[in-house]
Amino acid sequence: MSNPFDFDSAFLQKLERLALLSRHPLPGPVAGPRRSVRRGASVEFADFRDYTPGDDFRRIDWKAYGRLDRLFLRLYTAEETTTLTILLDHSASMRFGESPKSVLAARLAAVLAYIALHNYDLVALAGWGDTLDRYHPPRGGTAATAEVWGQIARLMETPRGATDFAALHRFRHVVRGPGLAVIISDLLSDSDWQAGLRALRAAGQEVSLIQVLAPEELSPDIRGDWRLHDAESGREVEITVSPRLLKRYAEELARHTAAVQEYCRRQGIAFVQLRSDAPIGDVVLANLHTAGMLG
Amino acid sequence: MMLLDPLALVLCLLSIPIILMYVLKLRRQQYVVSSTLLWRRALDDVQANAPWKRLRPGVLLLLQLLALLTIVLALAGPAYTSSRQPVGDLVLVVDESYGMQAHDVSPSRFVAAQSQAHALVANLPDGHVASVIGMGVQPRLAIAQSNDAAAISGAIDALRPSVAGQSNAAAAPNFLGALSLAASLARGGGATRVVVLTSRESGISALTLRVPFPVEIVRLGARVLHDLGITAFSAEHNGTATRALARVGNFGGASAGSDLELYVDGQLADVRPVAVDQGKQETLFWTDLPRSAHILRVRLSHPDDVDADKEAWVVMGTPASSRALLVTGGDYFVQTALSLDSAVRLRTVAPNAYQLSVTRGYDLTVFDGVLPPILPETSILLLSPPAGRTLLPGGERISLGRFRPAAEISTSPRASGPLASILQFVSLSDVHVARLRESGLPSWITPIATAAGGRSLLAAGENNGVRVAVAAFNLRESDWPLQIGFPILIKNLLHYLAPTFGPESTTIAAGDTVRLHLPEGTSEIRVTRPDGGVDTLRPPPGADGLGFVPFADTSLAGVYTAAVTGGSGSRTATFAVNFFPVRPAPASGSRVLHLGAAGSKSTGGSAALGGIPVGVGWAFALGGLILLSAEWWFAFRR
Repeated sequence: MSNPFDFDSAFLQKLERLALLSRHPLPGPVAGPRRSVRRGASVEFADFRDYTPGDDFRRIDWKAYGRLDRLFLRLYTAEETTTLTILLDHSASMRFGESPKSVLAARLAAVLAYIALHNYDLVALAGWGDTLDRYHPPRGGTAATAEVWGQIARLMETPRGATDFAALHRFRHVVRGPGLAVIISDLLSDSDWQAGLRALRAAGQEVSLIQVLAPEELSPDIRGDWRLHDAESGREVEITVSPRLLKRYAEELARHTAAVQEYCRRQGIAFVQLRSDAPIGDVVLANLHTAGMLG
Repeated sequence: MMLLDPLALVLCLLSIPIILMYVLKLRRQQYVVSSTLLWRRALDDVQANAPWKRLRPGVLLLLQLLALLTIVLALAGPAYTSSRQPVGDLVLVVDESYGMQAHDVSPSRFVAAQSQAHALVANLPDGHVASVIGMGVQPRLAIAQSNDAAAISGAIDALRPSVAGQSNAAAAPNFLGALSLAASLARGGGATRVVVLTSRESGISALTLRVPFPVEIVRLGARVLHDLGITAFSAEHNGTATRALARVGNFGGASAGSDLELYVDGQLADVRPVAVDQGKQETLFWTDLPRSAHILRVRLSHPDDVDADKEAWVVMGTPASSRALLVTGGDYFVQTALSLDSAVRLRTVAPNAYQLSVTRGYDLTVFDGVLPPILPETSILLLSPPAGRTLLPGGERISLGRFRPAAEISTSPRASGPLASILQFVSLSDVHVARLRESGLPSWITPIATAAGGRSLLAAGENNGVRVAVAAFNLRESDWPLQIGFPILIKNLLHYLAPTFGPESTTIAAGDTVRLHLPEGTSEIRVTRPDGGVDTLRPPPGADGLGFVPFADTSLAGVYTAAVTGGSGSRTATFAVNFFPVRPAPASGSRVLHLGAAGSKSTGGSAALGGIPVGVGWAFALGGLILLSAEWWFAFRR
């Protein structure tokens, strides 16, 4: 198996012990060796996680609440196969940073695909920027790992315009049935990202959102007079960087992140923000696990 | 509140570039980012890609404009007239230097200074005294510690701006000397105020002497001085022509130009444009003027703030001097004594190079140890003559014989009139001569000094305009050359044998004293000044031996004519007096300075003046500094 992402065998073995988690039981397109979550079919408890407002209160574990006085949400794995659709933002902005966001995004997509394929799920890949320009239909089985990895690698080699969440409206025309949808993007777009997420949910997808930002975006280290050039839109802004402006920038970033978090919380969307220079191992084993995406 | 230097308000124009900096966009380096989304949100001002942007009033702009305004106002010299009654004694120091003649203040800075001095004296409190010092190159006390208002006013009116000439190395007013004089007049230390009324360009900007009283310096001048002046003018004969040199200096605060006119004996000979940068000088040459030129005059045609330095003169011809030929085998004492007299131009030849024709053009021939067979038709001085005979131009004979012992040297009773001047200031009591030649002299040569037996030691006389003196002994056998009276004797002999008339130099600096050489017997000299006034000089009795009278009334620039009457007839001489100013560097800063012990507190207590503007520029400068600091703090925080 070709390994364009240089994952070592020890890391891959760790991934094989992980599984995708969903907040809701998801029926798959075909019956598989796994436990089913289709209504009427058996569902298998997989894990707990803390309850957050907006979660389905029907799945709160009241017994655990009685014992521990804390609200836990019960997570399930499906017996049936489910389809994981990875929506990978490959717009021009994803190539920004000393540790490019596209590198971590691609490695993350490869990890998620690997986990899904080793849990008998199907993996579909969609690439989008200013439009949903690539869609690779679901593939299943570990043998499809190399093919999916190759698709991911080629996708990230071809940046595509500016991020436009309206492109996600086209997703419902290509998706078949409910499933898991993971969006990997920097979310730095003037477009209506909420509408994009709503479109995915309307297509029956349980959505997870992974935001990847470069360290230079999280805490800019520039001073003086600059003409900022937008890598996607070509738009230019002239600024004089002062401590006060940097403080305002940090406030805007925090405000933007808080808005995304709040929206995701209300809509039951798992959200995690990652630094592009973070080690993939930490991202998978810590961040995604904590966010309830993997178990 | 008034502005002492309103011209500085022009600097308000600097607000234009400041505002432009806010309107013009900077040319910035490009920096590629993934998205400008957050930056645009962070910016208050989203800017368009245009060379101009809308001016938005901000705190920074406001602070910068306020800082500029306060600094400009500080430079403009804001001042107020103190209404408080002054306390304490008053010492007025009034600048009498050149710059005070400028009439940019009507009628002149000096008159303005006098008016302010009168105003200060009028406000003098009862029981206190005032002193007035004229501050020129040499400070002088006009009146000391007087409470008589009329006397003080009279002293102020008697002050005159001096004409400091080129010969004065430090033509700037002597501030240190004036301050020292003021310190000696301060009765009660801090209870005394010293007010210095000086020219704007006086260069006084700091206190040069530690004094226990406040010193207030008021600089007079309405604006930057405009002054193009002639700083040098000279001429000389060169072959068949006369060549001249004039130098024009710019002492004003800006570049200036004018036409320089050259007059030869009253006739306009040339006009040249001259442009001089501030603080610089330009030199002009003329090389083909007629040799017959007698009086040259240059004039700057464009009037400015100072009138005194617009003209200069040169009188051609030799100054009062005589030419003497010394025929000697080498005698240090004689040569030295002869060369001491600046009025004598001496040439020395060896005895074997001497010919009668060599003496042509000389007024006097001195034979030292030499006795030619025929004497020239010049005045003659025979020193240490050898034995022998020689023929005078009139055919008479001088014979010198054997040496005889000499003793008891004394003045001859026959020496009188001009002859008496030969031994003036010369004592014979300590003179010793070993031997004395027997001499046979014409009857008109009269002994002046004799040895025992009436034998002539030194004799002199005049016949047909030719004067002869004979020292019939060997100087090397006498201690006379070693005595202080010897060079005086030689000078007296030169003055008798080759009398001169006229000034020592034909070009004199205004204000300098000129020595007019006189022939003996002069009873009166009439000097005609450029303004037509006549000064009559009479040598004091017994002053024949001096050979000159001093003439000090050279305050006016121009051509002076001296005419002598008496003696051997009437003679005239001309000389030029020029005003070649040497100016101090213009000073900068406030036009009212407060110095001294209490004076640093400029407007408080005894430092305050009635009727005199008290500068508060320092307060504005401090305000500007505070505003600049605030602007820096605000910009840094932003």
